[in-house]
Amino acid sequence: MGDDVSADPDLGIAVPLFREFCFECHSGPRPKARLDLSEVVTKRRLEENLDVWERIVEKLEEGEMPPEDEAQPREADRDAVVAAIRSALDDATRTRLGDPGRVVLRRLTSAEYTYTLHDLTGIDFDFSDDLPEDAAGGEGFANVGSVQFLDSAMLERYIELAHRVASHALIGAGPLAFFEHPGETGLELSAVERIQSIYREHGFRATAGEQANPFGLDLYSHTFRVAWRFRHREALGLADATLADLARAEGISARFAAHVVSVLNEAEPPPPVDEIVEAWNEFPDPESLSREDLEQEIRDDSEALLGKLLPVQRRLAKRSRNPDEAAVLTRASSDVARALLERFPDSSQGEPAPSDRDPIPSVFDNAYNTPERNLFHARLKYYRKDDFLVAHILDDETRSRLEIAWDDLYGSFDYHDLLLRFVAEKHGIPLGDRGMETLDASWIAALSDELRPAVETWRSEYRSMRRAFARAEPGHVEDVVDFASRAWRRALDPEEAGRLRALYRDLRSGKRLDHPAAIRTLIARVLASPSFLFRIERSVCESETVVLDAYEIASRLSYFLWSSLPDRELRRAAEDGELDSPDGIAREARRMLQDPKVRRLAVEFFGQWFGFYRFDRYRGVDAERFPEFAGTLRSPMYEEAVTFFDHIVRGDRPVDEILFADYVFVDSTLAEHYGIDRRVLDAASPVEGSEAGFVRVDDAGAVHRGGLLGLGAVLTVTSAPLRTSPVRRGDWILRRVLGKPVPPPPPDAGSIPADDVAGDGKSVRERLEEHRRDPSCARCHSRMDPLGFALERFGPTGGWREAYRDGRSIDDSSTLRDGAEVGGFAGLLNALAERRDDVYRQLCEQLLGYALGRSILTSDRGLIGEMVAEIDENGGHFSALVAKIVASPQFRFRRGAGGDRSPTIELNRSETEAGRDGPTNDERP
Amino acid sequence: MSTRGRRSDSSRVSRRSFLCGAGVALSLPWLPSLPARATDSGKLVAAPDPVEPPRRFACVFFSNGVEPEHWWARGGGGEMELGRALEPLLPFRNDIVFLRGLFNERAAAHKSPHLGRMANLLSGAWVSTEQDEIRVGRTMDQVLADRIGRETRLPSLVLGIEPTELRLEDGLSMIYGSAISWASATKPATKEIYPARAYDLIVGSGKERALDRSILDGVLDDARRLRGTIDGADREKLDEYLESIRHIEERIDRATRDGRLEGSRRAPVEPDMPRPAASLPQDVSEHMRLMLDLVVLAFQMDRTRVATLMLNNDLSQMNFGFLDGVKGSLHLDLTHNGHDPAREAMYLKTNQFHFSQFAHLVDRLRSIDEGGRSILDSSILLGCSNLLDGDKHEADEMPMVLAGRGGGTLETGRVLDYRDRGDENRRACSLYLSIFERMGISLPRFGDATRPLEGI
Repeated sequence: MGDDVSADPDLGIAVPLFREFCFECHSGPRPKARLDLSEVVTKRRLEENLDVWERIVEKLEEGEMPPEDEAQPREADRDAVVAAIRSALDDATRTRLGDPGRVVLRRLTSAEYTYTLHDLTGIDFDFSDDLPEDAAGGEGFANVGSVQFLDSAMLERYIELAHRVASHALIGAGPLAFFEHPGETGLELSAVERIQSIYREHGFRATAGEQANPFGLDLYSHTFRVAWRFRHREALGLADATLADLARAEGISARFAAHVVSVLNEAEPPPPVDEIVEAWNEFPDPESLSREDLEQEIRDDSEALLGKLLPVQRRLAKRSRNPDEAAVLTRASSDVARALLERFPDSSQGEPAPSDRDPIPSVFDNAYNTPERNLFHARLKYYRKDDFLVAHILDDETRSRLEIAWDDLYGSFDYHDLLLRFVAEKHGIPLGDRGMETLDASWIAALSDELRPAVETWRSEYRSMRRAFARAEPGHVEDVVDFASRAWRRALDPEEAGRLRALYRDLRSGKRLDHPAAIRTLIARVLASPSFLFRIERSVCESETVVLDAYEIASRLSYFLWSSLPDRELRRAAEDGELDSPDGIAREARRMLQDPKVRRLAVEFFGQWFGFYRFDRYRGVDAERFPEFAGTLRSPMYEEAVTFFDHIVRGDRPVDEILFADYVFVDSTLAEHYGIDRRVLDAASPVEGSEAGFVRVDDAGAVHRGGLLGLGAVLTVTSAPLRTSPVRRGDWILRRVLGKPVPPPPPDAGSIPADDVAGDGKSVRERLEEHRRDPSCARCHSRMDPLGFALERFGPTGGWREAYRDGRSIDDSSTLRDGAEVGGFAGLLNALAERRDDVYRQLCEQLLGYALGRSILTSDRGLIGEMVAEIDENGGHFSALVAKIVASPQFRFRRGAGGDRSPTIELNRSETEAGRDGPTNDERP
Repeated sequence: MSTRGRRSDSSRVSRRSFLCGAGVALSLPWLPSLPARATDSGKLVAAPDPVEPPRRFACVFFSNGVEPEHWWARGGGGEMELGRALEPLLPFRNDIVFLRGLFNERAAAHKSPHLGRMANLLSGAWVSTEQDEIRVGRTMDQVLADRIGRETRLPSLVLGIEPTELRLEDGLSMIYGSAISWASATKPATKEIYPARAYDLIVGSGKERALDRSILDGVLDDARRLRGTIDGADREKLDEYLESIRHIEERIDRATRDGRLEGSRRAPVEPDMPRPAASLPQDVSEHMRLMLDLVVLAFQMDRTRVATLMLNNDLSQMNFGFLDGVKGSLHLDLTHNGHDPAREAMYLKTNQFHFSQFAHLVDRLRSIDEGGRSILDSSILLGCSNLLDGDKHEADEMPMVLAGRGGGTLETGRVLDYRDRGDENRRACSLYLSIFERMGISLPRFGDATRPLEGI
């Protein structure tokens, strides 16, 4: 083929132009930017090089090439060549639309790692000081596999973190779980928390200390009603209702209702119980009153009965919850006291805790604040006495949870051994090195009659706890296998599960680890695995496009929308085959977009796209000039940005609102900073679920806010530390919002002073105007500066201002390159509205690039086009764009490495290998 | 055979001397009479004498260049005159070599004025402009780490002050502005910015890692199995994982062998500085000082012989308000100062501050005796930036100063000017080849250079 002939007949027109203006740099043995145009134009067909051509035509369209200081083609020639390439590209891409492209194995980003572990364990780990730092690639995101690395230092950190997470495992009598505090302390605190929550929920704990407030006694009045209804169920038309049904309807434990009913139906209740029973028997018959009056009457009667019960209880149980003691104190016989308190205990308390208010076992001195009792609370802390609750209130499931919690509490430290030592010390009984495990019958037999039953009870408690721990062990191994399947985001094959079990056995028998240590090591091993750290997508076939399996799709969905692993529902959908169809995938995506976890999409996707990522730690503002920034402004500004995009996503707003929303989210600090009137703020509606006290202010245009360009965080990151930077802001709009970046400035472009009030009195605007007199500067600056100047009334930390610091007035009008006049913020929004297509295209490209973890390819044009059309036709609700992406072949398929090995790419490789671009420093002598 | 004889000798004395060393540590002089472990000197040119203290290399980097007017040196030895940027080095005139005119051709030719001219400082390689890849070149410190790093617990120490920013600048990943050490063309060496973590790397015993073995075995197995189910570039990524496991295992092995390795040379085995606080220091100069002291500690304990420290990232927003009379951040306010004289003066102060950090390292290493010679005598230290005039992004020349005598291989107290010797004779990579030679490594070429620097 001759040098003047294009390999593509349609591109013949391009050859002379390239020859004249481009080949000098872009051909020969060392072409600049590794682009040999003569090769591309004359030797290769266009469809082999779609992405290269796409880039070439972009450079031509943007006027970036040939460079400023080189000879330029005539505009008409350039346009003709651009048109020819565009049309050839369109033809060629039509056949390749939907190509999934090459997505390189992705490691979890630092953020994904943290979110994933949160969702696995429920713990808010702060790994920010420990995780390796991410780099950005592709369309500018951290989730691009081809720009991620791993080295031994990072892997060591992952192993370290895996150990840290494993230390939070609760390894006790129950199934494996995680808790915010690590180790044995974690087990203890978690057990206390679980016990408390059961007590709190049910009231009625049969011990309570001095000054304890009765708690939950109102349950009696409810239960008296239930018992009455049960007795008259037929007359009330409730013949089919069981006592349990009636109890449930009243919000009472069925077991408690049964207890009270049995007491109320006792044949010969002892005094003073008989008084209560008698009063209850006098509740009216259903027939005696009208329906409406009846309900009220029964309500009143049961409350009155409670009113009768309480003083009796109080009298009998005065100053103590111990029936024996109460009997002495009240001069009633202990039988009387016991008869009532066993049936209708008064206990339960305002502070449902194992606490130092609690009495201690009766073999010890129970007077409050005595040395013995204090020592008990210091050493042993807890004493269980909840017989009534267990026997008469809790259902079976809750009972078993409570048993596990107490076993965990006992097992979290040497509770029973301490108890034993305590009693031995008190009574001067030599214990030797005996502990609960080694207690001999003769030792117990030698105890006093008072102590023996107590010690025997403790021993059986202890043994039952040990048995419960031992029984739980095999389950923990299986729990880790299950944990691995969730962590690795797929089903384990039997061999993998087998290897985990084998490691456990080896750690126990070979390495002599105890059970908790072995389980923790096993968990750490799961979390250090490449199956956890990488998002593995299997592709056995090098060259073909393969459909991802359901679990891989589930992970793509969850990491796209939640930056984390699939939840239970998504795993179920994968298992049930619902992710085999594009519709099924889109359906799941819509569900997921309603989950609060999509806030992470606001943080990760929008944050990285628009540059407010980690703004809560932003340090680019001069702390001396703006001391309030880091102190009070930074954090609400970050919250404002995240809340805004969370609203766009979860509220499924039309994407137009990203730029043109007429509302703003502020708290009182921001409102003041933005100059929003207090009254406006008070009238605004609070943001649902906002912990930061944010409100939504409508008609934001009136206060110069609304949309992306009014966000404090955005205006701040696009400023210099001491002043605004119209250049930066303009560059940011072109690059991030419109997707039309200008090339980097020449190295010696010079700079303007850091401060807006400089010695020579020239304003930033004047300086830039001087700068633009140089035509080579003007080409980019005439695009950037006018956009930036339109935002000039927003100060360097995003506040609204009417003048510069030195009192000079602000001119925020400017003229765009096409001659359009732009007046300030509102004018800029109008101008951007004119360029909606660019904004939409950029949004779609960014979202797709983020979803796929790669750069946009020419073959994505079809999908991008569909997404843009979706916005044009249906307003572009966020979920509709997401649905388009997740249903696309790009999202559902994967291309093997061989599939994109087009001649160009091989050519590039061989060039590099041949040292065309210089030695790669990998040489080893 | 003599090598083998010595090795067994050393292993015989090692345990005892290791025990002696424990707890006594720092004031002990280097004991050259003890036999040293032989290096694998077969392939090496000018191998350091095995009984000599080992040679070390460190690079202290600062971003954004210097105020060019004050970047000069004249004369030699104690008479040397220094430009104001170099003022902190005045007490060390006899210990330094001032270099003018060195450059990296591919940096100077790069269109990205920052990132295209920084990541390649120590490699001379091209910074890729492809969006979907990160690629520069393996850097000279990592070549050194590969060759001489095997003798110590840590192949190299890669330190920094500022974290990596997660964004693109001019379409290039900010990773290019955050790493001067690259383990391979596509992978930056992990930079440690936490003093406490660096301390643990240097001082930690490694014994606590015993359990990790079973974890490593397990995950290695995972990786091998997965490898069969994926292809191409995915496999390369997984290979990084496999390689990392191998490195950790090597390190564990090395840590458990330390008794023998260190014993022969009687490096201190106890650190003479406390473990720094776990959090990042809020005070920049304290942070830098700690990192420099950690380099000293690592050299002193012979835990590594190669170190790099980035005092700031490219495009740094580091605020220098803590310097008297200085206001604003390094890149935007001070470097690009619009030739405002007040700002230029502040920029100069940051230059001086950076060289005072370098001077601190020189000073500390000079004060530690290793048997009649200081660590500085055995070291080559490079203080540098990637741009000369930071305001103009001038990469046609880089500010570079060497310190230390490289075990007697480098004559100091000199000023070397390469500006008018032609591009072939002023390549930074030639300097790196010269440094390799002095560290006992012979390479035919590196980066864009095929021969060492003349006259050094």
